Amino acid sequence: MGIPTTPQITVTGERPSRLSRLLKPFAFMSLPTAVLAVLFLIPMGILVYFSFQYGDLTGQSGFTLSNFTDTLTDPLYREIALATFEIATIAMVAQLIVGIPLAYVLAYKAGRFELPLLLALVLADELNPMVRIYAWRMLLGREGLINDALTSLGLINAPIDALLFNKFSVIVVLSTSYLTYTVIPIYASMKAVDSGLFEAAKDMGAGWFTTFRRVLLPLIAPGIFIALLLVYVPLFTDFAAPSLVGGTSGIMLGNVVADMVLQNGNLNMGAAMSFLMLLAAALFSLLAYQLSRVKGGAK
Amino acid sequence: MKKWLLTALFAVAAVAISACGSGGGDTSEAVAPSKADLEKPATGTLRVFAYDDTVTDQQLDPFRKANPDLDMKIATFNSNEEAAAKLAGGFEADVVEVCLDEAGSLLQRNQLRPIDTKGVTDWDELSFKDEPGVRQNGNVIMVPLSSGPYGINYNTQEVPGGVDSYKQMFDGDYDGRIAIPGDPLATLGVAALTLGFDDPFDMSPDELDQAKQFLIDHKSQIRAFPESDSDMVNLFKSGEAIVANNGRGTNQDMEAEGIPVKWVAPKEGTWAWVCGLGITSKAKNIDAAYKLINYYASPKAQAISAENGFVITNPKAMPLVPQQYKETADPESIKDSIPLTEPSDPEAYTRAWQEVRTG
Repeated sequence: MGIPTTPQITVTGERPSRLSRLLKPFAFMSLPTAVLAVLFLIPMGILVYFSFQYGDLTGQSGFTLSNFTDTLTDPLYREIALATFEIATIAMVAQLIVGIPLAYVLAYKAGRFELPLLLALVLADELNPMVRIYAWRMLLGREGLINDALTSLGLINAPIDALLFNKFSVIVVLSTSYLTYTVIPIYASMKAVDSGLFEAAKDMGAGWFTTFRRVLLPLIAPGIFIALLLVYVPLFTDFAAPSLVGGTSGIMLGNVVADMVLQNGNLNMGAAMSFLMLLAAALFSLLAYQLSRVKGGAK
Repeated sequence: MKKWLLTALFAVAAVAISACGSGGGDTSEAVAPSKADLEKPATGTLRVFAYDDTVTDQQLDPFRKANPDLDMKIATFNSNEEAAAKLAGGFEADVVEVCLDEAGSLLQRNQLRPIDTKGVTDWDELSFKDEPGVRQNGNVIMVPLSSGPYGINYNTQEVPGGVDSYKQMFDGDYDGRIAIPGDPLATLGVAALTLGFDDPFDMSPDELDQAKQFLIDHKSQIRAFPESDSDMVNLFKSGEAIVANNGRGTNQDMEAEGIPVKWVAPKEGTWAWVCGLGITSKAKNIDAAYKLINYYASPKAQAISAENGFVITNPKAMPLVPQQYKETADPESIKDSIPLTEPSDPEAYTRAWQEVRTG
């Protein structure tokens, strides 16, 4: 019986062919690309197609720009767009005012509670949006916890109606609905910032506000940009909060689109409005991106 | 490569778009033939698309038991407009619930197939079969199966003296405690009746403008425009609203929740919705569709409907209706109500409704 021989490995040193190098990335990317095409590009194509059509799917349809011109020239929609802009902007600013300190605490001060707090923040977002809105109604309502507490403390004689069913309550609900998506990108960008920079700024005589404005803010600008993308844009399309806590004035652009599609069955006009909102969001994103580059010092 | 990819994407998008278009445009004017042997259990698959309170287990279980080999697929919607949009988008159903005030969106897209009334055993007995909208171009497009009046309901503890008219509802005593369902017809309809207009669902442009202005002027008295019946119940439960324009069925739901409420027909008049079942233009199991419609029109199913707070449409069911529901179930009880039908210009109503919320 002879000693088994080890198979010999020959290293040829040949590089993969040019074709194989070209195809490999496509092979890796084919599935995600297909998913993106099916779930994003095709619906987007349909949306754009409908927005340039007149008619009602009965077969009498054709190309038109009137869905866009009607939307843009109608003073009612302009008024609603302004109200939406006002509500979404205040809600976004409120979220940044709460979100940046919260992200700071999580990133630098929470210590061993960092992960549990982060998990709690994520879990808070898992709550069904309807349940969350109804929870706010229980807090802000006439017989809600806040009015009850104020009444039992003797601070008020009658419940404050102004806490619910108006613009204020829509802003409150929207400000809390997306807090997780505001905090996490900012937290992630803070984690990349060396805390020694704060010490250095302090040693050089900078107060906390100067340190925040001139050291931290420019470095977390990309995180704020991501937060704006994730939160500010969807705020414009929300229609549940204005419907459920907006009272008699609960109308935003999202409600108008819903009215167009569900009340009037006018998919074309609804699609045009959605497309315009998408364009505005894209322009806004571009602006925010440029600002974050300036703040972040990118060239 | 990029060009090739883009071309392929556009090709797929074009196919998808044309599929969407044809979904709505495909029509069938032919009456759905009724050959169903009503004694024999149905087989195959039956796809039903309806409001959730129409397809409760309580309502459907006897039908399921009688047709054990029938695979029923139930889907629900919140409005006929939503149903029409989904059907146009490719959603498939054999039977769809049709309400007279919302049927336009389904008709516009030719999504309903005319019904052969000879296939509906109790057709001649049914109330509301002659209401405007049941027939389109001489063809029956739905079988009316349930109805319900809208009037005023109020919390009896908060409003011990009661409210018996819309004028009284808006006299200032209930500032910030009024609720009106959040849709154009209900809100503008209440305003129209308060202003004394004859037909709240076919107002002239001038009347519509007055109704809109009335609501804007009285907005401070209204607490909210609830989006659904359950939201209305919640408003009463949480004490936010104490007076409302409401369906009698919703009032019954409130009573079941232990809320002290009473429903009254206001002096200005009530209106009544009428809903029923229709057969879609793409229905595949037409025999089973007729069986389901016949079941819903049968005295047995109508009695169950009465227990759910609806006005029934088949008077033959009255002997089966439990005593406590006899008054509310009787179709005679709403014979003077204004039928809730779709306005000739629904977009004008939607616009006025948007202006109310913006104003």
